Amino acid sequence: MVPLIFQWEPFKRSAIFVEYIKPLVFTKLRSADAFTTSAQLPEHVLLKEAINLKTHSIGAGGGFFIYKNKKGNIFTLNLSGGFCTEDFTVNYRNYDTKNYEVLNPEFEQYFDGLYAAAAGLYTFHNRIQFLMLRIQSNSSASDRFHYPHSFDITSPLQLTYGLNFNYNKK
Amino acid sequence: MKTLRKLRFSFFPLFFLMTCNWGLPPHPDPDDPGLYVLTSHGSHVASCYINDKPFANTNFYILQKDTGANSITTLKLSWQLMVHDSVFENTPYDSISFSLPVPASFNQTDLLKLDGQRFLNSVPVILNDTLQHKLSGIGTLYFVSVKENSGYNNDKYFVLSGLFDANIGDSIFVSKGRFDFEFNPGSLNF
Repeated sequence: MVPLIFQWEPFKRSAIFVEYIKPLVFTKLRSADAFTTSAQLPEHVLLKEAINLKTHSIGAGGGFFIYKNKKGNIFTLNLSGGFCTEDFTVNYRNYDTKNYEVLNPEFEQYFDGLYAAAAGLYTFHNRIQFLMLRIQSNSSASDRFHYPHSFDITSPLQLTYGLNFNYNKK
Repeated sequence: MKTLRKLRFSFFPLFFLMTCNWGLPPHPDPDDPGLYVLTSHGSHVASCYINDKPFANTNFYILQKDTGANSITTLKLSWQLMVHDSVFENTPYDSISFSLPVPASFNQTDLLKLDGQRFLNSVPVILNDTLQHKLSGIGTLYFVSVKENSGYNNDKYFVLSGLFDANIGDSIFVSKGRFDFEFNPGSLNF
């Protein structure tokens, strides 16, 4: 998972920000067992199971000043909350659905709900670069689903490096 | 016009976490409408098509050792049939049972040895209709998974999961059957 995080601070003298998180998720590949009662076919075959996740989070929050050193580097605590969606898609490659049954299959699953997040943000190098350690709660949709999937709503813990882009009012 | 005061962009993640949980409910099969997927969780469910009509059972099933006529010992796996999602709809069939010939000494240890065994077109099947007629046929029974699990207080229980189909005469076809049953060892008669 490679999360891309965009944060926009719309006010000059306020640490209020709007954030959008769009992780790029690698496909999870694993084997799945499929079986048949047909005498003309192998009784057991291995299938390739591919699980993908598309997730978005959008929210707003505020930054709280914690520390500033002589070089002007700043450490702040960012707290935020918002709405997130997670859409798991499952695909079985070369699956003969007419003759075979997958044992304990996975299913496509969509979650949406609210999240809360906290991040420690260290801004340095003339406030152009920053390091951020951010943790986001899983969404409030977690209690609605009971099938024993191999996956569940994510609770990402991210350590990211990033750049600030400053714009001036005309 | 107002412009962006500050735009922050970050990347290079070093960590992420995913969480998992477990449960035991049956789940509808999106590929076979009216049936449940093949699971090995002890979901207390069996479903199949009988002449392309979906039948399901989510509670009432029996596993027992029978000594019938001619002293033949069989392991009988049977369950009630209900039209899927409609316990009130009139159904022509009441129950189905598969009778697998086993040695007279068959016990719970032997039950675990059924794991992975497929009995092709050789298992006698009885389909009971609602008029108390017993319709005989031959079927396939595939024990995809037979295992002993531990429950609360370390209680042991058997989970039998698999596939089945059958031909009852020339006009009744049981197809795409799958089951996932759980048995308390103390409830078995062998």
